[in-house]
Amino acid sequence: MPGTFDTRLQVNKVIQGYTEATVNLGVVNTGVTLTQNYGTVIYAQLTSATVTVFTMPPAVLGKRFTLILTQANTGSATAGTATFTNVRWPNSPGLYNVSTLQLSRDILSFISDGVNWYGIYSVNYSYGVADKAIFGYGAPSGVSNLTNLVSNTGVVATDVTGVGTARQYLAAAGYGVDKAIFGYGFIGGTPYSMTNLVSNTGVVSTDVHWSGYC
Amino acid sequence: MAAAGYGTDTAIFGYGNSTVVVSMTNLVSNTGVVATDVTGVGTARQQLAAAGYGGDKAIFGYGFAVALSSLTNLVSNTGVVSTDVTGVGTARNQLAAARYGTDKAIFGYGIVAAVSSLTNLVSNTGVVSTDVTGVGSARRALAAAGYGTGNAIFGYGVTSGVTSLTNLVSNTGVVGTDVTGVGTDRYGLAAASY
Repeated sequence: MPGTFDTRLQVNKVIQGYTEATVNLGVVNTGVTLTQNYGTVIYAQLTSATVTVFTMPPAVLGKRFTLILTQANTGSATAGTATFTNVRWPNSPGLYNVSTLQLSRDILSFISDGVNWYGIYSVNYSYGVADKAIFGYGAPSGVSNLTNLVSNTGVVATDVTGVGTARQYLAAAGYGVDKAIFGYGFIGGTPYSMTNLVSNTGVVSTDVHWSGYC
Repeated sequence: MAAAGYGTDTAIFGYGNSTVVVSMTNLVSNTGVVATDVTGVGTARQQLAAAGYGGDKAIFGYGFAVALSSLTNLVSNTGVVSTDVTGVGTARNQLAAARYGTDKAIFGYGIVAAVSSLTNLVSNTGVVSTDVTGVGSARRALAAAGYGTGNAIFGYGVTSGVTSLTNLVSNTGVVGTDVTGVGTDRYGLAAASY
């Protein structure tokens, strides 16, 4: 009868191409309580020079989840550290030591036996660092699409021949950890809504046009 | 308009002038895809600046509405813009902003009645401090971005003429003296970290 079948009795079920729900906790500070209520892949980023205590959810037999933990964008500051309540690590009484490199990522998987959580980890994945800058576009006399790269020591390089529509009074920001985007702007008094993506090596791509406001 | 990173890997464009002054925003995904318009929050204004702070949040600040403004609007780590925060520091427009340190931001330069080199530091909770006497050539229509391990750079703009001067910012928010410009003098440009 439809609606009354207990799916827990199903065995040897084949699941193909499934996706787990994700939750992004953003930057965490001194303490955070983990929950699987909103997803089983949880993202968090540490705060520099801060010990974050991760309180585990109640231990329930068979529960599992993954935490993707990103080190703080520390710059020259001290890395953040992480401790976990009620977790047993490999090589008991082993400990998990968070990767300390700026923006490095650790992947931690947890499974519960109903009493404890058991942690498995792989550490120090590269996640990119945005340590350079780019100036672009603007108006010397007429509008321009020249760019100038800035090294990670603040040295501005000579002009790079422009890509994309020359314009001024635009805006720019970083995205994707180590890339950037120029967007919008004016040519004469007319607003435009195109964008230009910048790769993680500072290469500007051709125009992308959007229907948003200018 | 202005733009800044927020979250761990996303960005937001906001405010500006689209034949009328607006406060709408557009979020940018971590693959660089711009989303449709989001109804604006806060006072519509143009020629403002924005920067990331607090590790995963952003701030829009200053600009010109019907008059020069020092209003700020905080952006959460999910890209939600908050209502106006009463301004601190001298109202001005055509300024620039960048993140510095590990989790702070700086607004700097712009135009009041004349071009300015004032700066205002932003704490890691988004609180804007009072004016810091300017260092370097006062100018407007410049750009700024973070670089290195907690440093920032202001560059280009208009002093009495168009310039390519830059000023480096330490990881404690202290602005350095003018550095002779490289590249073509220009104004009304933008800058970002990558």
